[in-house]
Amino acid sequence: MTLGQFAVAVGAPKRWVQNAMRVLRVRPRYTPEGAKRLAFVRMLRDGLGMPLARADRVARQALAAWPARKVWDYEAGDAVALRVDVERFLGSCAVRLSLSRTYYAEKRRGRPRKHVRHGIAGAREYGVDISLLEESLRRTPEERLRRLDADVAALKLLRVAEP
Amino acid sequence: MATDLARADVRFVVIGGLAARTHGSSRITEDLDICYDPDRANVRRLANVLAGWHAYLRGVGPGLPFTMDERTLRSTPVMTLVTDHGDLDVMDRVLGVGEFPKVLAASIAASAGGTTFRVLDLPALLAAKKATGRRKDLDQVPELEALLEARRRRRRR
Repeated sequence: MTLGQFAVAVGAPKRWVQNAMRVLRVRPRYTPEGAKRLAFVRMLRDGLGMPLARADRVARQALAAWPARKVWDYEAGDAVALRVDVERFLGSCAVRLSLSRTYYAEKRRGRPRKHVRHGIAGAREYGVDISLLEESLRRTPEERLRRLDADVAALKLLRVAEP
Repeated sequence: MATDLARADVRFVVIGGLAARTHGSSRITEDLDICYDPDRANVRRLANVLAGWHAYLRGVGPGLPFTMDERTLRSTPVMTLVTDHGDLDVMDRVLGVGEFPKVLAASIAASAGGTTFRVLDLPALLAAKKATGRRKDLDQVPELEALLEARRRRRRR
């Protein structure tokens, strides 16, 4: 996992992740388990204003107790109690973990190229086969979608034919 | 999938590869990306359809505590899913375009399989691809720009 993927899994900006790890004196290892714990910490920090160190202690306890305890109760004195739906929390974590692996991609680095040509000339220079586009534009949108369905079906057949 | 969603009265706009294909792209895409209306009733309808398709998270192992329901969709509005009918990405806004009302305003009607649904128009699709900054999206920009120019030329004729 990269820092960017880890931050997506936590649901926080990269800078927050780095600062929180520094404050908690956690070695910057970007693992799904670490992301779960830090996401829990962030939830308590943002939702309740709990200090990071205490939130980290609660997160460790609550996550260690799952799946035996699906709901975590934490009492912070005589009159204050906290209840966390750990099952729900882990569900949200799983969604973010999925996004970090499938949707997130590192942004292209460096300055964009100068004097880049746009439009048809730019696409041709980039290696796009313009004749395919012209052919496609002769069809109606409905025909294009039908053809896509046929292409995808053909691809599936090819995959089935693979040993 | 798009036609089934439309038949289930889910309000959505097709974005991504299928939208590009509708506008003339030659690329083959196997997944469907949609931006849905975050209205409560619409989210409920979408969640019901996705639950019926046994939607599960893509890229993670089985057995995680994941329930596809309205509450899950409301708390995590962007998801990449695998379903009985194929891969599906759902989101309630599009980077570079905005939230659902803006996405809807920048869409056109398309029909397939006897059903009509909305598809993000070419200029908005181009803006979305540029806004993500991801290599796989930026790689598609030259083709979309060429399509935009070709379409303008055809209109002038």
